[in-house]
Amino acid sequence: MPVIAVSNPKGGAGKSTTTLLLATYLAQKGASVTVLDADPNQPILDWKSNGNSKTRLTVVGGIRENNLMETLENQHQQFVFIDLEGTASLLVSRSIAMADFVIVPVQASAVDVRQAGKAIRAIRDEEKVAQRSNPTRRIPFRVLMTRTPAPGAPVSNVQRQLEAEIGAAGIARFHTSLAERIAFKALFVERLALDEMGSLPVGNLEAACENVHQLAEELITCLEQIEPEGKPHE
Amino acid sequence: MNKFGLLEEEESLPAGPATMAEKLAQFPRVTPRPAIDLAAADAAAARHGFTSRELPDDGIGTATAPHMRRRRAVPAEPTRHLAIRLTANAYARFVAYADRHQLTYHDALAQLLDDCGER
Repeated sequence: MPVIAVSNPKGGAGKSTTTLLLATYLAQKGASVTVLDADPNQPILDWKSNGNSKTRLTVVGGIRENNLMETLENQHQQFVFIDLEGTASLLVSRSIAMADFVIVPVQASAVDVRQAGKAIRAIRDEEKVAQRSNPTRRIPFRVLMTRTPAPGAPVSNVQRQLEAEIGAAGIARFHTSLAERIAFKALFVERLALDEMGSLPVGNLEAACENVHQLAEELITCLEQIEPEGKPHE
Repeated sequence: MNKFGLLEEEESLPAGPATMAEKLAQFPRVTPRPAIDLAAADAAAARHGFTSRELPDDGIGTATAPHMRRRRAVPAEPTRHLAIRLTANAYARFVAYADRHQLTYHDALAQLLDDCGER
């Protein structure tokens, strides 16, 4: 059921990486998954079209403002991810308005978080607009810290401050963060899914897989909680 | 498992945690989205700086046809230089307007001012 938008108007926050990691993970666990590649650079479409991954993942490119709704109508998989461009565009805001859940990836940088704030305010306003016609409509979201130090490595003061401020502002965030890992960067180089890179020199692959597993578990828990309220869409 | 007879017949040991595959199987397929009020949604987003980044279909790619535009005539009155930076969308609309009416850019600007009664 869920349509999951991955959005931060700041480029380089980790939207495509997050999308690809979660989408391939869920697909490999047996779910039917589509990614709408709404990034003009089409990184996930390139991953799919020019790579050799055996992962059963459908990728649809060429998403524009005027075909977003029609494209969504034609999706019949269990999970649809929308990988959005790193700008504040109508394509982004409309995707948010149509989503069941929004992931807002941020790096531990003030610029990323400020831009994420723009996305969060847009989510809240889109929710209010949707509630005019459907009072039970909600657009839940979670901030996802990306490119964080691997477990055990020192955490920067900036990251601690940002996490504290996100908490103080009452902004929901994933307890799991995506660490800075060679394997995650290798996704788009090798054009393979994580568990297809076993024979390649991509750092601590086991830790990378465990990181994604934890994030996916948390995402599914979030989606299970919102699912009963997802009925307003129907 | 009821080796010691302590469990009622209908009782059973709690099931172990569901596997990821079992959890995923609970999710139904995506159903068609209801239409949203695009104007209201866009207006809400615009307050946070979300604007269209796409060119209209009759934008730069198809509307610019310099040969259609009138040749530049030297105006009789003194001229001033104006350099402006537009959004791609506004740029495309302006160029399309000038092309459609076969106007130079400065004539197109003057025409728009005339049309809106600006003196």
